[in-house]
Amino acid sequence: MVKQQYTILVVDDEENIRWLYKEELEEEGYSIVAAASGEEALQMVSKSKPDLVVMDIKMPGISGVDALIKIKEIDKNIPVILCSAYGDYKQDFTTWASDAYVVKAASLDELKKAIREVLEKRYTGK
Amino acid sequence: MDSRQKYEILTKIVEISSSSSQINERLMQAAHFLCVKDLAPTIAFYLLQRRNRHLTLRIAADSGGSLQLPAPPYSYKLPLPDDPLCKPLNTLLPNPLDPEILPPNDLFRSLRPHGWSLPLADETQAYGAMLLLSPTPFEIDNDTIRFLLVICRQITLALRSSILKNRDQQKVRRLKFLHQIGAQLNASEDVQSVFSQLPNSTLTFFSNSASILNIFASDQSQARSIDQSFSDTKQRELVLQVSRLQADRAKFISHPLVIDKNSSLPSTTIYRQFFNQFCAHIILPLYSQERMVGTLEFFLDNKPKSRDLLPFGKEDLELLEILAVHLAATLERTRTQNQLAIANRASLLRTRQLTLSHQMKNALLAADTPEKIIRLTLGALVSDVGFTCSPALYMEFQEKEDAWRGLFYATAPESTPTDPDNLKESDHLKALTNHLLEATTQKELAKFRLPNFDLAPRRFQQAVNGKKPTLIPAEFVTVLHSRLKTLLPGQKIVIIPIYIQEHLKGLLLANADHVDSQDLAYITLFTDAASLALDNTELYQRLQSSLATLNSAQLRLAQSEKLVALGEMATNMAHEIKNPLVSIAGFARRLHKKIPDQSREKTYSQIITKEIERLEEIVNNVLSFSRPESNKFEPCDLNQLIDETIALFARELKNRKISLNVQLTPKMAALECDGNQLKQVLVNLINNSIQAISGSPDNNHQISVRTSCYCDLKKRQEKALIEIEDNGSGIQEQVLHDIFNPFFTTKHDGTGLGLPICHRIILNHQGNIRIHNREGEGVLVSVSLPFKHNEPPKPIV
Repeated sequence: MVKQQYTILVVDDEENIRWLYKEELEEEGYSIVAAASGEEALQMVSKSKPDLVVMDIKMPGISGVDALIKIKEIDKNIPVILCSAYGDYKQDFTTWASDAYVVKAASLDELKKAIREVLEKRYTGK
Repeated sequence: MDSRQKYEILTKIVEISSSSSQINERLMQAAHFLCVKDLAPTIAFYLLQRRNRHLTLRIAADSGGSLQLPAPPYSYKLPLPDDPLCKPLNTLLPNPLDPEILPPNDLFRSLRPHGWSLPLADETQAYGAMLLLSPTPFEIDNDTIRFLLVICRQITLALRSSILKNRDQQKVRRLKFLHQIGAQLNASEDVQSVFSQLPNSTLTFFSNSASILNIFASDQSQARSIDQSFSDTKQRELVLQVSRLQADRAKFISHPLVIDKNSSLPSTTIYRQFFNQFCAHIILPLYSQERMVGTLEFFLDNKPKSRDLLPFGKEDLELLEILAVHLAATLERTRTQNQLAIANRASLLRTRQLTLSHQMKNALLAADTPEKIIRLTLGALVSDVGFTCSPALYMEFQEKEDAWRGLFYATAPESTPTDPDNLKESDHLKALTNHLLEATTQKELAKFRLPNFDLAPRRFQQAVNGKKPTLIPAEFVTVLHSRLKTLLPGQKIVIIPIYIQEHLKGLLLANADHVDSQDLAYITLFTDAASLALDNTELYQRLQSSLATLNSAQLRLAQSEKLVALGEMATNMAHEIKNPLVSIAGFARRLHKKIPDQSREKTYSQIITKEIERLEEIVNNVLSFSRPESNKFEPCDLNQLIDETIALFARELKNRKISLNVQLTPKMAALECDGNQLKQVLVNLINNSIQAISGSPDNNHQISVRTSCYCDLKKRQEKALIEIEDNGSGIQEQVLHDIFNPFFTTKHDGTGLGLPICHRIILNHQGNIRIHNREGEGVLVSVSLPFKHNEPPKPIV
């Protein structure tokens, strides 16, 4: 069975991070699009609906939290993973609007794991 | 009788009468001489006495012995002027005595002698009569009569000079007496003693008369009477009756009152009896500053032994008046002196009481614990210079036992070093202060218990509930407990309830044998002050403890505010650092994957990755510091936790040749804690110890880990104690106060967050962490944790 290629939108104001995520996640077999701000991300979501959004919180312009709400308003079925350096937001957001919360770390293993789990839950119905 | 004989006789009489011997002696010689010269068978001298009211046979010389005259002195009341014997006193002429003619007051009614009465008198005064007596008719010629008159004249001269001399002597005696009595009175503080010495004075008058000194009541003293010189109680009773009879009258006299047989006296039986024994009753008013202070009464004997002072004479009365003035002045003076002395004593006492009360007040104010106040109070109660209520006992009610417990017992010292009255003010205070310190607890008192007073005598209960010190007989108290009799001997006991804000705090029981109502008022004042002081100390202690709580709360608040600010800063920094870090780490990993194994570059990239991981750990530490803890408190086995932690270090300790000494108290209760957090603390602390030891040159490296249990009495909590000790280099004294501040570190690669995180975790556990530093010798860190938390723990941000 041919594995379905999911499109993931990466939102981060840091170019290096976007690049890193792109390279790492493409290696995992995902198709990656990137946005540098919350506004850009919203445009892209409404144009072409990605299968998943990985989004930073602290960004110039609208924050990741606000962008998350707006994305959910556009299509509540698009899963969003928040990925931030702040550990202390974790409890607030996991239980609320986002589908997962990952603390930014040097190792991307945790993020990759969260992406797998969310995608599986959302698209394979497991 | 020829002229030569006459000359001889006259010469002899002149010689006798002018000799220096006593007048009686001279009269006797003269009488005998005249008898011998055969002028008459019997020669007698009758002399006027008692202020010329009596004629007394003074001398009688008899050659034949045929006339039996009564033995001299023998007095007669002065006969009428026409009595043959007395007639010459008026006429100055010789008068023949005729036994046939019976005059009304015949002196010789039984003898009926013949003879002549010759006057002993000069132009101014009559002194008596010389009698020539014979049982048979007695003829005498005119020449002889004239000659005899000359002799009489001579004898008169002698009598006169003798009387004058006597008077002078009396005057001198009186002056002497006045001088003496004045001196005595001036020196005396007590009129009675002077009065009692009157019979011994130079004037024998006083020894011949009974006397009474009445001192009238002044404001403070009672009326008194002193009497003396009575021959027997019967006589005394009689005189006192007479005195009482005149008492009312005596109160209002302004001049001496003389009552004798001749005055118009009340014809009572008492006075009749009185005048059988006495001849006069003299009442002298004692006036001082126009105020009558008393009376002086004299009762003159009918037969005075001495003639040096005869009553009713103006001079004698004057003397008595002077005496009365002296006595009155002295009475007034002593009375004033007494009043002054009393006032002085009262003011001294008041001064002493004031000083004591002032000192006690100061001491009570200075006392900061209830115990000190109770001891001071007890000390003042029992002290000789305080209230002399020794011994005294203090009890307090113990609600747990539902009984009164004896707490303090004090007795006065066995002997005071000196008489307290003689102590100087400063010594006096010193003695008291010293004694106050000596008032001590009696060891055996600890066992002394009294049940509550529900069954106590009603009077006792009333005294306890009365709120004021009360005096009650000892038996109402001693009936409560058999030991009380030995603890509190005496007849009376003062019960002093100590109330604090309407609540009965304790009870003072003290011996009160020397306490009167005035003292009780003073004790009330004093114990009120003690109650107030007790109240103050309780308030003070409450204030102090709440102040301490406030201080620590403020400290904690400041600390948490600091931590919040730091947390915010740290969070921001973490975010800023972490983003580039993530990029660096990500690409480094990617690079690492691409580099062929066993190449130098692989090693380089490995180092980069590792170092970045270290960096990330530091950032994560900061983030964990700023993140609210999610505490999971559950019962843990502390010893097991420690064992697990130590196991993590096993290899490192071995490598560094550090010996580990573990002493765990077995079977400890489960500790309510977050195991992971506590482990983090232990890791941190052991890590610190290892690093401290590694820095010290000594080879004998050792770390000790101990656990134990103890009871925090203040918080009433069972607590676990973890001690981690090393023999490293210790902490430098100047950095000691910084070690709990975040970002402070002495290590070149430290974050300065290890101990602050430990501190926060322990505080979250309601525990304490303490550093006992011995610079250069090592550090002992002790962590105390309650086994059970008092209230649900709140996370501290």
